[in-house]
Amino acid sequence: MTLPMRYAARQVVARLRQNFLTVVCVGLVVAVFGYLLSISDGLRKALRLTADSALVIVLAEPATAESNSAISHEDAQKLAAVPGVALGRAGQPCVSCEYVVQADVHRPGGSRASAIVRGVDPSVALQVRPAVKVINGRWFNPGSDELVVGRTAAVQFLEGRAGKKLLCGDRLFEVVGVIDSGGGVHESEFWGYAPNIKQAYRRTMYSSATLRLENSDADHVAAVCERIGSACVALRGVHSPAYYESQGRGAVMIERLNMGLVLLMGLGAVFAAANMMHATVASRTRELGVLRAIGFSPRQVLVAVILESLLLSLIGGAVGAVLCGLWLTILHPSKDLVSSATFSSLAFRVSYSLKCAGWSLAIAAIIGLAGGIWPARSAGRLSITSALRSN
Amino acid sequence: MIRLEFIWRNLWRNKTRTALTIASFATFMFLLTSLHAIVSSISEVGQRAQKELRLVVHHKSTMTKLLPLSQVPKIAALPGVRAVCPVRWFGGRIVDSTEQFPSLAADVDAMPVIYSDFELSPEEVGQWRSMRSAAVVGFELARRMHWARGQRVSLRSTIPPYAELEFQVVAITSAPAYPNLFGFRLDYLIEALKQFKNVPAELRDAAHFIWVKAESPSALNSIGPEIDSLFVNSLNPTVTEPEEAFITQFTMMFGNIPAILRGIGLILVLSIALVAGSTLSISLRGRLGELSVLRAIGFSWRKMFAALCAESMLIGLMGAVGGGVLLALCPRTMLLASAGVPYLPPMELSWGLLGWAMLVGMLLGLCAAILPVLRVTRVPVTQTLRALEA
Repeated sequence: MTLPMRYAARQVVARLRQNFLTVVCVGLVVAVFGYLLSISDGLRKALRLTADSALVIVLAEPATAESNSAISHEDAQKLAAVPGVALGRAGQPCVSCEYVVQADVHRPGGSRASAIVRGVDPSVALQVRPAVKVINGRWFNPGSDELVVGRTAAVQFLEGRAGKKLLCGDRLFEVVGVIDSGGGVHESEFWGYAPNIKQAYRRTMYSSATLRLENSDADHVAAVCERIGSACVALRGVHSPAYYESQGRGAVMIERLNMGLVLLMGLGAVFAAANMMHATVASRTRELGVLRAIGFSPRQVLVAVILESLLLSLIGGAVGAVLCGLWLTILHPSKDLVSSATFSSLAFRVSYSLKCAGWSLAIAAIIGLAGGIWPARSAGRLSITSALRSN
Repeated sequence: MIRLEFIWRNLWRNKTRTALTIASFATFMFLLTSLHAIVSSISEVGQRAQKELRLVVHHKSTMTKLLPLSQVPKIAALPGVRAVCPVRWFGGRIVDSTEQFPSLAADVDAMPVIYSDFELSPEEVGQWRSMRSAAVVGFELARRMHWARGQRVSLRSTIPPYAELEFQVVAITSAPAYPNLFGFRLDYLIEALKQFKNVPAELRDAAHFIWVKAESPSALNSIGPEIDSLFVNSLNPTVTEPEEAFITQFTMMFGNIPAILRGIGLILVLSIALVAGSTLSISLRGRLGELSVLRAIGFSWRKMFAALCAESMLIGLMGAVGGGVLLALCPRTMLLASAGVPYLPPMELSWGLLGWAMLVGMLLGLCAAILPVLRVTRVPVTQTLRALEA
């Protein structure tokens, strides 16, 4: 079986120029696929990184997200008494009651988006989410109209730049620092001091509360959620991983679009690849006849042609993957998507992962195989005598 | 003149190759035509909105903040204003269902005037006015949920205070701009909100948007700044935009959809050109000798050029028609742009669309042909003939 591999590889080198256009076509299909997959993966990754199995998010019972939830101050106080909640450094329960509201922001291109503004009390919020820290500038001063901005929002929205002002409710808040939460969706938010946000938006109720539990056992989580439901009938506790899983609709939509596009564009590319291989088989019928005559089996000829198609397609795929990776890395490091439930934008970082590259190459390989199989069969079936006689 | 038959026969000399090229062309054209249909329905909705002379007023800080209803009579008193309709976002969902659709409460009297494009019959308008729980539903939503006129629907709001309301569908509108709309009466909603003790009056008697209809196109331009200057120093400053701009902005919140579609379209065009170009150059390589003979016996290079380009354009034409047929065969629900995005109209198929596809197909065939054909026809005949002998 030494023939197929080396023969195919040399054919590829010899014929790359002739098949250049088809190879580029495969590359384009793979590039579109990689681009969309990176976006849906980026969103999923941000949601996954935010999920913390020791956290429970408390929402109003009918609410679908923090931003459309409302919790009365009375109920919020009862949450502090729920057993099973971890205690903070000062011995107070780790229950962070927060206001989750929205503010209009602009993308660098000028289009409008709606960003989440979270009103927190840093003394509790940071014990509930210890990963959050300031990486640039400083924390907002409690009591003043200042904000810190997540590092992704700082890139994605014009108002996130240091020193900029953001209209929150009735008042202008100044951005004084950038926070990092180790990836995740808090990096696409603005955080301010809870009482100031409350006044600016004239809110009478909290939006949601986040609880840090003593441990993250499934049983313990379920028990705490049940206690929340019985202590406050109007509320429900959602385990943080489940909550962020439910916020991933945007990713599902992109994945569907991507699937449809890749199937159809891939089909078009398969036809193109089949065309290319038909032509190369036709143009060297005599050569294939010679190979058969000197003893190579029909099977070996068939494999050689398929391998050639596979290699050409993989070259196209690799070029597409590299270009897409470069494009994403250099030009579009972050994106944002709007949740259709809350109308607020979720910004996240996009990176071209190894998984993306792997899938891209797999798709190129499938295109090559599917396109090569039919021409290869006709190459394997050539009768030696007529093949040798052809020119 | 080279006869069409000559071109046609040449085209089918290698049946596999031509069939594969057309198939490839057709799949890419299918996608390209669908994209074009979506983009043109979006712009058509925008153009229709322009004719309706409507403006949208919303809170300056964010669209989720409520405007007090006390602003409505002040706007209505401005000269050039024909009707004013407060609209409140309800965010309703059917209990135990994950279906999402925009549900909005609108003023009972102003709604039929403001949304004359709903094209409700006088009888339907009468029911809307007389029945407090009346609802008007977009055609696509009604199809998806199997609702007919008279259907009772119960929705629970996903925004505080999570009111649950019972409705009766009195009309299904076929207006293309509102395929998924669920519209009902604002007075019904406000009455229901009175039962919630924790909703203060200023949040109860309020709306997210105020739709304004102008009397004339010239009034349309002047009303906006006038409204905003009315409230600029109040607790609730406003932003007023023409409906078209508002819809564009609203759709843009979901991402720059037209730009994404254009980007994908550009890649599709490139792919098509690559496929067509590569096939043609393969096919020409095999016919080099024959083409030289034709030129040697007196066909001018112009004629050869025209014949070969026509061949490629014919492939493009057939590919486009193939793509169009695929599109027509495709189930209609598949063609609907994502139902979760409000204001994204369904794609409309028309003969004009097929004409567009055929034109684009031929143009792409031509573009793809120019380079490979030039390469062949530029070579001196003597050289190619000599190469054949060898």
